[in-house]
Amino acid sequence: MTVGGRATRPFELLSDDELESIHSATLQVLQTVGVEFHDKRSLTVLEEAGAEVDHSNSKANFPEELVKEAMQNAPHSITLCGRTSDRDVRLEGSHVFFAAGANALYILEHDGPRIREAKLEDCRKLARLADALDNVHVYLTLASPQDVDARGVDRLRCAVALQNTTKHFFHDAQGEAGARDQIELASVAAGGFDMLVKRPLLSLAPCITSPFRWGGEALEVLRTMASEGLPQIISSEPLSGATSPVTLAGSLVQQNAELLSGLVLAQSVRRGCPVALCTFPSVMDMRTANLAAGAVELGLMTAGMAQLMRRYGLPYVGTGGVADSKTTDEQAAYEKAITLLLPALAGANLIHLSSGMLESILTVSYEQVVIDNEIAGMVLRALRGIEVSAETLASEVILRTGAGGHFLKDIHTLRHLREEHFIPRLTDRSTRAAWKRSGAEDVLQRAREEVDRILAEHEPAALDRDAVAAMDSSLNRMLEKARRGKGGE
Amino acid sequence: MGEDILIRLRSAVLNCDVASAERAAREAIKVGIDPVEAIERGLTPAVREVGELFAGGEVFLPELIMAGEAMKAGAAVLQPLIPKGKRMRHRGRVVIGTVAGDLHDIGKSIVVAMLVAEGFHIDDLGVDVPARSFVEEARRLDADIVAMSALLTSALPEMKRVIQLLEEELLPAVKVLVGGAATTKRYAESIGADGWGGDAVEAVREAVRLTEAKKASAPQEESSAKRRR
Repeated sequence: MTVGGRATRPFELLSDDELESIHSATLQVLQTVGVEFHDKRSLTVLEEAGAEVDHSNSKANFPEELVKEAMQNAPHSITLCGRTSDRDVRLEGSHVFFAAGANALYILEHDGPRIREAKLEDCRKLARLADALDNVHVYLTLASPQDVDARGVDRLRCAVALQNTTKHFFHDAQGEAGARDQIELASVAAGGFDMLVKRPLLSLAPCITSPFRWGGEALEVLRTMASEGLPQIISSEPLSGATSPVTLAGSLVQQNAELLSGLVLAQSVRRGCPVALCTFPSVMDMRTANLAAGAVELGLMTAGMAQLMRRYGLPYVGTGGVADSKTTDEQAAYEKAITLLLPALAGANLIHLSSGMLESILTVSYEQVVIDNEIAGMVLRALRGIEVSAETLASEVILRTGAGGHFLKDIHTLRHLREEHFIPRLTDRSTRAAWKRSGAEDVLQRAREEVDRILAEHEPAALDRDAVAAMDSSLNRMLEKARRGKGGE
Repeated sequence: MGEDILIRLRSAVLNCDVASAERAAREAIKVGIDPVEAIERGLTPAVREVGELFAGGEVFLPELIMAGEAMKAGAAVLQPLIPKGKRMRHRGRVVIGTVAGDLHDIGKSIVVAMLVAEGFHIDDLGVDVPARSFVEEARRLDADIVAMSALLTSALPEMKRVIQLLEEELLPAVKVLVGGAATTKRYAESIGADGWGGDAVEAVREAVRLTEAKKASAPQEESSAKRRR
């Protein structure tokens, strides 16, 4: 099991009364406003479960009891398995892990502010890079290749991830066909479908289109994962001010209602199926009309949602460590630090998009991936807080050292230094003279060397050759089929 | 008297005030102002001014959108009184929508607001728009531009389909503009689109470029015809 972090005394942004207000406003919205489901089978399932369904406008309204029942039936904890158990991640309580992703279209060039389109080779290299980093616990595709056909690209990204990292793979899918194909690919990696169900290497993330509208493809993915009993990460990603209210509390109510509407459907398809609820709550920048992800409000909303979900006893996937900056500069650094620390301190169970992302997740930088690994390391240290015990109070050590002495030669120092202080890899703490002697490099240059080192040295544990061959031949068949489908020549 | 009402139409739009725009439009009719003049000298310059203020960072997106709504409200009162056959001046006609399979609305709606502010005539088909609807609307309105948006990668092939249909239906003069988070410039070029907007501001700039290029090359549409193999 991966250790990750745990918020021992989670940051509480909202009071009990405020949480209660958000909760009751949510139930009200689900009951009176309702949610659109653009999928006939989903509407039928919801109707049978007790939702009030109006087929003429594809809308379902949810009585309070139905929502509460779904919350009770959903597991309080889900385990996202890696290829080996030491890479498993359990989402529950105030445990905190980090996930990479997702699907950047562009790569920031090594030598400056220019970008280029992501290639298939980047997908392989970024998966290998993430595989080597301690503070990326779950993998989400960092880049989506632009040098291949868009049809079936989800299957391709899936196969690349399964072959290039042993970490759990969290992904999206193009409808039921995309979900079924990826389940098949993951089954090959896991040693069969039954093994995959036992140790799910793959989770898929159906996402609602805010406000309050579930598209057909997302619902197919949701139903497929629920009926197979495989983990899914039900997602809501509104822009505050544009696709949700401008006020953060109102946006939280909407996000919560959207997530719970998906949860009700999942639990109605299969009671007790594994679900985590996920938000990516950006804000609309009103001067540029662009999505702002590196906003402090994103940190606040994920922190508030983490608190609410913990109260519900539901595993929560938040967002953090994101940036709107176009390049690996000071803006990226402060956006990432603030948006990562807030949800982590609040105990968000898995913080995704926290690795390498720039330009509101359109662009990924190899160097930023390793810099973010360092930021995540500092955040994990912050989560451990200050341990207070007879040993850490060090009364005896202070007594025996006394006035005017020092602690460098004390066994107590030797015993604790490695876990008590975070030891950075990339951060420079040398004197100016020493820094100059070693080339006066900035963190970006050091990050570049680290990327080169990892890509030269690190080989992820390989799948056995037969599995790779089987996966590749399945993949070829899937891609051919997907490319023959809609929009074909 | 007439000038006074034109000023009221303008300030209703500048103040994002839908009710005042409607009131001023009714006043304009009552005192016998030509509805075309009321639109072209009252509403349109005001909404373009708001557009310029937005570009300068002085006005924010919701204000731009509400100014557009005020203009629409005023125009809705005036338009029925425009004599048949008399055409409004505008920058160009744009048929716009999010392609089939994709329900994402907001990016497209922002582009619509900015195109309105830029003086375009817009036909917004909404989201999840079938390829055939784009083509039929383009033909019906004699559109200058068909603009398509997509956020989902899986919806991208729909854009190519619309372009193929435009070719099959022999509408080579219609320029195609694409955008949305799933698209890239190279993708737009690869499917034979005439323009790509990486964001809303760029989409509007492209729309202006395409309509100007079209006017310059009218009536022959060689470049576009060549594009469509």
